[in-house]
Formats: sequence, structure tokens, C-alpha cells
Amino acid sequence: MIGVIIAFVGSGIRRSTPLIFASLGGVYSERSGVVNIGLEGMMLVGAFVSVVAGNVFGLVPGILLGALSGTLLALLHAVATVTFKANQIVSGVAINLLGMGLTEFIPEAMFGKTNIESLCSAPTISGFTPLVFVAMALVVLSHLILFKTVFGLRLRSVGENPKSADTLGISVERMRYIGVMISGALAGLGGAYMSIEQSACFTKNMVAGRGFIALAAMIFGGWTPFGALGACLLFGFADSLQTIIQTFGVAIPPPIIQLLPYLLTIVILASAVKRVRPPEADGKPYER
Amino acid sequence: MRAIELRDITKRFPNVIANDRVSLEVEENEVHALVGENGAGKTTLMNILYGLYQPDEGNIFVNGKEVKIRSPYDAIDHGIGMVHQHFTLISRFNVVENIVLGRESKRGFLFDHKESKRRVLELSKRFGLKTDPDAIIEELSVGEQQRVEILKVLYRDAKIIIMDEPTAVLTPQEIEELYGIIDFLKRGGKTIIFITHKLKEVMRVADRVTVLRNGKTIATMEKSEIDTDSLARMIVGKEIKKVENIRKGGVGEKIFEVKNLHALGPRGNEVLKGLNLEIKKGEIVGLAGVEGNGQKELVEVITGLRKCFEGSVSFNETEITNRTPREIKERGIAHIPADRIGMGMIMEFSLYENLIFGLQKDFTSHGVIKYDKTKEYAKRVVEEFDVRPRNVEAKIKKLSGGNQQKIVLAREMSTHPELLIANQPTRGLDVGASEFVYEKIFEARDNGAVLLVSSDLDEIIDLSDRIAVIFDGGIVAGYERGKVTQEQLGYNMMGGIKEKEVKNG
Amino acid sequence: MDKRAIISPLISIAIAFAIGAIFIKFIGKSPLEAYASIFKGAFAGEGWGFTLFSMTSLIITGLAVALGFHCGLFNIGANGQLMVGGMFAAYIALLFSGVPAFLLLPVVIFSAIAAGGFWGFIPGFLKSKRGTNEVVVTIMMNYIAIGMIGYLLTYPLKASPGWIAQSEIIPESLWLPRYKGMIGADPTIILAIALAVMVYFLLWRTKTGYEIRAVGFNPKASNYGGINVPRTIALAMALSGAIAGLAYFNYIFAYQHRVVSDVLLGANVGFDGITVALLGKNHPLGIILASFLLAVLCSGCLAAQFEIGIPKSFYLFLEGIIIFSFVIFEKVMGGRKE
Repeated sequence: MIGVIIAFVGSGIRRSTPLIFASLGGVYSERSGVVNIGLEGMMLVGAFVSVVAGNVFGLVPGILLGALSGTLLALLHAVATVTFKANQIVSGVAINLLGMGLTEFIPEAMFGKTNIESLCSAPTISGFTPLVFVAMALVVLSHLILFKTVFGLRLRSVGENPKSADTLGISVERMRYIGVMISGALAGLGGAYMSIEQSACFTKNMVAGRGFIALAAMIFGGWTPFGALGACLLFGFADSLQTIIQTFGVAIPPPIIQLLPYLLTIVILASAVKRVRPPEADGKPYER
Repeated sequence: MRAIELRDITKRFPNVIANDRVSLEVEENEVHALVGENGAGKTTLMNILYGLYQPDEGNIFVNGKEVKIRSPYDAIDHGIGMVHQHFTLISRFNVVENIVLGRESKRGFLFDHKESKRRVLELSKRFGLKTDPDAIIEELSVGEQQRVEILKVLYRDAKIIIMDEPTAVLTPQEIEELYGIIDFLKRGGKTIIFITHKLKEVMRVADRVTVLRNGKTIATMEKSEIDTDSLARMIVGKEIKKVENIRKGGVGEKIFEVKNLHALGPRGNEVLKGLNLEIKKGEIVGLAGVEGNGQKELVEVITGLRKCFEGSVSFNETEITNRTPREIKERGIAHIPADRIGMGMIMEFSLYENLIFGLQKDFTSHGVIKYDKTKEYAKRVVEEFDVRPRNVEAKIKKLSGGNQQKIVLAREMSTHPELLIANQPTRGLDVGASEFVYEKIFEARDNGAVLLVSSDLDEIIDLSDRIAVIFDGGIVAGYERGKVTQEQLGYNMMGGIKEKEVKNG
Repeated sequence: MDKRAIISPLISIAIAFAIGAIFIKFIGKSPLEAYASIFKGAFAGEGWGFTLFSMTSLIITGLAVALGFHCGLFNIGANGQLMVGGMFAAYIALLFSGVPAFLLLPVVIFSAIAAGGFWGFIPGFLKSKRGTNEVVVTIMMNYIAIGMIGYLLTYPLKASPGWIAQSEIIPESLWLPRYKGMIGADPTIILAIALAVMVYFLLWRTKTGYEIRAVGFNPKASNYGGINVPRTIALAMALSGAIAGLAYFNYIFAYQHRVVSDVLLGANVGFDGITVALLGKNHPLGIILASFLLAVLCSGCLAAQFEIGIPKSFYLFLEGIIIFSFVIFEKVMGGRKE
């Protein structure tokens, strides 16, 4: 019995980890005022690049390159939405299309198949790979950065009232670029975790909507790092409920269990909306 | 020494010359008032001084030296600070964060909140600007927010402070407090440029006055040299045509009544506190009051855009309290909103689409819009109201502001409403267009009745058959036409009846 | 419609081709061969058939998304809406398989519309009542649809013999005729064009459309103007979903004659609808033209996969670049105007 509970907790934490990375990313981006629904695409490229790079260069370079690939994709989003003031949702959709397209088309064209096995193996400490700890540390670090540093104050000011920040000498464009690129790096890390550490391979479309759940977690968590952590853990544990249910032989069909996190998200959003508010200027392009 | 000198500043915009060789001299440590009507060029001039605009011609001197001010940062570097009419505060941050943003005290990467707070408190004590450093901006009153804006300017060592219509959004008591702050600032060695169009303020605070009109400097004078009448004449420059108010019919029975209305405002506090008002058929009731005393919310409740939690609104013997805007429209109440651009029209729609806005049911049969009927009506209306250009298919955003407003006016009047609510009907219109609006308001009175809400006291006095004064969410005085002076009205608008204490709004 | 409206999509596609060429070179193929293959594939022989076939779904989802946009709403849920629309239509077809086709077909079409409409109504309702952001909700609804239908096709509605997650075969009376090949053109393209005409009529000739557009432009003014803003928002989302419900009608009734889980649940055309609406400037005529362009790419890429081995997912990649090029190009051009 204890064994089952421990397995459940461990599994829950592991399943939350990619969500935590992506969700944190979302927080940085939206706090600077840019909606980023392209987290899914950024996670996918992170997952893909980290496996391929990992196989060639090793575990750590692989992960770093995965994060970098996410950052590059995010850069595209930033250019479109911050410099060219394009609609942020449309840009996010395009990022996802790019991510999906790239991560299917390149492996199939180059390797003839869409799953790539990872040749790296990550060390584990009591069942958790290093990136899990990195994720937790990043949550604490992000809280510090966003709410206790000058950088964080300025980043948030740009997301609340860019006009004010602008008149006080803060570069709205620069802050938003940084926020968006950080979100890409984190999403890339989330993808890297999934492919290298969690499943030891990359398969097409493996992110399967987690980028969107991460968005929901961010909203539910009130756009704060700890809030996002809590929400991601909730979703992660809900996900790992699957294993428990199967262990106990309860006959709920897998597809139904799979849809529970999404349903949960809607329920939470529909009821929580009155409590939490996004950054004031979230989603609006800034023009002088 | 001259703190600021602007010499021959010229600024042109596509349709107008906002500043035409304007000169301004401000002495050190004086309070200098810059006055003029809306559109005279005051704000443009100050925006140039603050680096938000670049002048096409002319020079700027600060403390005797010529300078180029390319942006607000340059202005701040030269010791110039500006408190804008529309605050640039971050609602969800607290006072300290707002004041120090961009010039924070740091400990490494960390934001030194304690040190920042200390410096803010020190500053606030020095200049008599009471403030709670930990308070969140959106919880503060407008007057308190303005103090934060002033502290922002002082924190950046401004020696010259520009205030753009600072009293426009304050309650009477807050205005008194502001006068006190200005005294304090002056004693602290600061120079203040005070933009206003209210004569009373000029007489109260200014040491010297410069009058602008139509983009030109008219005169600069010491306070001792002027009085309100001569000042007013200089600002307006010509006799305003007297409005011909000829009543065609008599006054009938009561058709509209508001009883004991209580409602909350946008910040959640009570703004209508048991308001009572009556309107009879055939009369124009003018609602006089300083902006911010509840008139906006009263109009919103009457037209269904805001809910009241107590009291009643009735029209033609029927209760219309808390009904939807559509239902109220259908009963014959038309509304010309104060914010015609943002609320009264859809920019992307064509003229004819805007003309049926709110009336679309009348132009539809079986769900389909009858275009011939619509276009016919549109063409007729556009002729009648002399809207230019005449093309009813053009998007309304292509029209000038005045013509856009005519469309809104035309639409509301075309339904021959029994009650017309005209909210700031001539705001933003030139004299010719305003006269036209007045004619139409008289027409509306002949068809029913009119509730006129305006911050232009002359307009209220000229047009109204009865004047009601709104103050602090209630009607505090009422007068028949011709039986009251501007002074008396102004007094009531400030909430004063002799020695009674002004209630805190 | 001004010239610019036609040039922008074409230039965006050209840019996408250019960038795509770099990637094609990267994987060791010849870009010229690749693109030639794509165009040939879209038109030659049976290619035409599939081009028209894809165009149908693209027009439908494009119209759905555009309708939402006209009300200021982002319907990212067209995928889910087409899934429930298709599934429910098939279910009704199987349930009433005895009924003669001339009665059953309209009912079945209506079922697709109703189911999609319901799926769109839910996020619309939440937005109108609670202000819940429709972007996240519609995305979630996509995954809920996948889960629900996945379950239905693996258990209760599964075709009896066999392990494949698919439904029974739909009664032959409802099989729509096909022209030009395996996945060929079928009458649903006419349905799609008819829908485009109807949407045009709705938006610009009816009171409802007028109110939808007003709310999309300025909800505050619309409230002042007496329009019931929450009701209009919910209605617009429901209509959007209703249209989307028909997007896979051709797959189910003309091509496979049954619902196949992998096919229905793998649908991506909901996102393509966004692209189409964007390129077509949310106008039915533009949407038809944009759908044609995109259909050429889509079916061309599929054919090219067999011919020269460029994976069909290249199409997704091209699409992403097209969106970016279009959006950036538009902004750059818009800045030059006046």
C-alpha cells in the first residue's frame, strides 16, 4: 500500500515536471505582457533537438541545445508580436504549426522515421532525474526574480502598464523580448525533460497538449511561480491517477481518464475567473 | 533668473497649427498659469517642453542655456517634470514601486524596498504630500493618486513642475489640498507651470499668467494686473452669439421621475446617494455640477448602462428601473453619450450602419436588413444635418470629429424621442456646430423633454428652463430659468450653502 | 477588394517557399524538384480530386473561425467541433439507418451542425457569462472531444468484429458519390461554397450579423446601442461551432463511409482554418481563394511524399511560415500606407 502511494507521488511529480517548466515560461512571458500559446510548439522542438543533440554531443549539451531551440522559436514569436505588433494568438498558433511541422518533417526526411531513441541516460536520485530538481529550484528562483529583484519589477511593470514604464525610461520592447525568450528556453527545457529523461526517446507529437495545460496551470496559478507549481502538481497527480486506477482494476476506460485534466481545467477556469486577474496589459501590443 | 524660456515655438499638425510662434517666459520659483480654451495649444506647448513632441521651429532655454529636449528623459535630466492629466500609474503596484520605478534603490540585483520607502517618506514629509507608501494605487482616491504623481516628479529632482489641468479630476476638497501642496512646493524652491482653463484657479494660485488662443500667445501679465472678466475676454476673444431660446409650447405634466436613487460607481463606492429628480413635458432640465459628482453614473442608470441598488426610475408612469438599454430605448428615451467616439458609434461601420445603430429593428424584416429603406433614411438625415462628406457608404472613421458627432446626434434625434438625454452635447464642437446642436435640442424639447448634462455653465444657463445642481450624489438645489447667477450656481456646485462644511466625496 | 488583399497571401507563400527551400536542401533534396512535385501532385490526374476534397474542409473551418473573429472571438476549437459534429452525424445515420436517404440526409447534416454548435456554445456561454477566455477553453474542448470520441469508438460504437477503433459502416444510401479517384471531389464542396454564401449573407445582410460585427468592433458601444452583448457572443461561438461541425462530413460520408478514430481524431484542419481565415481576411470570398491555395499545398505535399519522399508534414511547416510572413508583411505594408 505504501509502495503504491510512493509510486503515485513519484509519478505525479514526474508528470508535473514538464508542465512546471512550460508554465513558468508562460508566467515570464505573460507578466511582460505577451500571451504565448506557442508553448506547445516550443516544447516539441525542445524535445526533438535535445534528443538529437544529446545523441551527438552528450546529455548536458543536448539539454542546453534543447532549451536554445525553444528560445529561438520564441524569438520568432517575439519579433512578430513585439516588433511587428502582430496578433499574439495567431502568432502562437503559427509557432505550434512550425513546431509540429519541423519535428515531424525533419526526422522523417533525415532518418526515415519519427521516433528517435535517446542514447543518453540521466542519473536518478530516488527515482527523480536532475531536471526535476532543476524545475523545483527554478520555481523558487523565479519567485525571487519576479518579485524581489529590480529586473522583475521592471518586467512586471511592462506587463501592467507599458506606457508608464516607457515614460520612466524602461524599454518595453527589450523587456518583452526577454520575457518571451525566457519562456521559450523554459518550454524547451520542459520538452527536453520529456524526451531525454522521461521517456528516453522522441516521438512525433509527444507533447500531446501539455503546452496548453501549462497555460491553464499558469492561469489557475494566478500568474505566479508558486501558483503555477501548485496547479501543475494538481494536473500531474490527476494524470498519474491513471496508473492507480489501473492498479486497482477500476474499469474506467483510458480515453476518459485522459480527458479529465482538460475538463478539470475548464471547470477551474470557469469558477476561478473572478479571483485572479492577468497582468493588465497582457495580450495588447504596445505602441507609443 | 528665467527658469524656462520658450521662444517662437511653432508646431504643425496635419489639420492645424497647434502652436504659432508661441513664446513663454517663466521666472524661477514662481507659479505661472498657462490658460486658454480647449484647443488653444497649451498642452501641445507643454508636451514640447517635456520632450513628447518636437517643435517645428523655435528654441527652448532652461536656466538661461539653450537646450534640445528630444524625449522625456532629456526633460527629466534638465530638471523638468510633468504631472499629466491622465495619470501614468501602475494600478497594481504600490506607491513606493510607482515612484521609484526606473530609479530603484538596489542591493545587488535585489530591489531595496526598505531604502526606497525611506526615501519616499522623506520626500513626502519635505513637501507636505501625505501618502501611505504601501498602499496599492488602485485603492487610492484620485487626489491621493495625483500626489503620487507629484512625488514621482519630485523623486527625479525636478525643479520645474508642469501640471496639466490638475484639478479636472479632483473633488472640491482635494482641489483645496492641491492649492496647499502648490504653496509648499513653491516654498521648497520649485517652479510651477500650471495649465488650466478655469479662471477661478488662476486667480487663486498664479503669480503670473500667459494666455493662449488659437495657438498664439495673447498676453502675459502679473496677477495684480488682471481680473476674471478681462481674462475671460482674452481667452475667448470674441462675443459669443447669444442663444435664441424661444419656447414654442408650454410646460406640461411630469413625464420622468427619479426617486431616491442609490448606486455604486466604478470603484465600488456609493456615488448616487438618494437622488431625486423630476422632468416635465416641454422643458429642458439642465444638470449643473463639477465632473465627478455622480452625473455620469446618473445618466448611466437612467439609460440602463448601470444598475442601481435602491430607488426607482419611471417614465410616463412606467417603471424602467434597471431595464436593459434596448428596452429603455424602445420606450422613447434617446441618449447622446458624452463619449461619442468610444461609445456612441462603431468606427469601422459606415455612416448608414451607424445611423441605424440601436434602431436596427426598425430597418429589418424577417431578420434581413432592408438596405433601400436604410440608405434612403441615411441620405435624408445626412442632408438634414449637413454632414460632410455626404457619402453614406463611407466608414465613419474617415469623418472629422464634428461630423461624427452630428451622426450620433442625428441618429438619436431621428427617433423623435419623448425624452432626450444630452450628455456634454457640444464638447469638442466649434461654435457653428454647437449652435446647430442647440437648435436641435430646442426641437427635442418641443417634441417631449430634454435632460441636459453639461460642465459648461453658460450652456446650462442659456438653454435650461430649470436648473438642478448635482453635488456628491444628490440634487442640492434647483432654480427656474433666469432666477440664478453663475456665482450662486458655482457655490451650490461646490456643495456650499453659506457656512456648511464641504462633505468629503 | 483592393489589389493588396490578393498580393499579400501570394507573397507570403513565396517567402515560405523560399525558406522551405533552405530546409529541403538541408535534408538533401532538390527544392525545385520538390516544389514541382507539389504542384504536379495537386493537379495532375487524381490530384485535382484531393485538392478539391481538402478545399472543402478548409473552406468550412475557415468560415467557422472567421465568424468567430467577426465577433472578436478566437475559436481555436474547430478541431473538436468537427469531431463531435462528424461523430454525432454518423451516430444518427447508423441509428436511423432504415429511413430513406432523402429524409435522413438532411437530418444527418443537421445533426453535425447541432453537435458542432453545442460544442461551440459551451466556450461561448462561459465567455459571455463569466468572461472565461475562449482560447484556452476551446483548446481544452478539443482534447475532451478526442477523449470522448476515442472512448466511443473503442467501446460502445466500435464495429463489432475487429480491433480497429472505428464505427460501423454507414448505410449505403447515404454514401455520397465521388469523382476523380480514391479521395476525390464530392458534392460537399458545393455545400462548402453554399455555406460561404450563407455566411456572407448572415454577416452583411441580416440584423444578427450586424450585431455580431458591432460587438466584435466595440462591445461597449454595442451595449449602449441596445445590443445584448453576452447573448451575441454566445450565439457567435455557437454558430462558429455549428459550421465547423461539417468540416469532416466529406471524410465520413464520401470517403471512408464510417468514422475511423485515427482519421477523425487526427484532424488538424481546425488550425488550418485559422490560417485560411487570416489570409482570406475573414471574408467568405477571400476564404474560398485562400482555401484553394492552401489545398493545393496540402494535397501537393501529400503527393510529393510518394513521389520524392518529402514528408507531408512539410505542409505544416510551410503553413507556419506563411502565417508569419503574411502577418509581418501586412504590418510592414500597412505602415507604408498614408
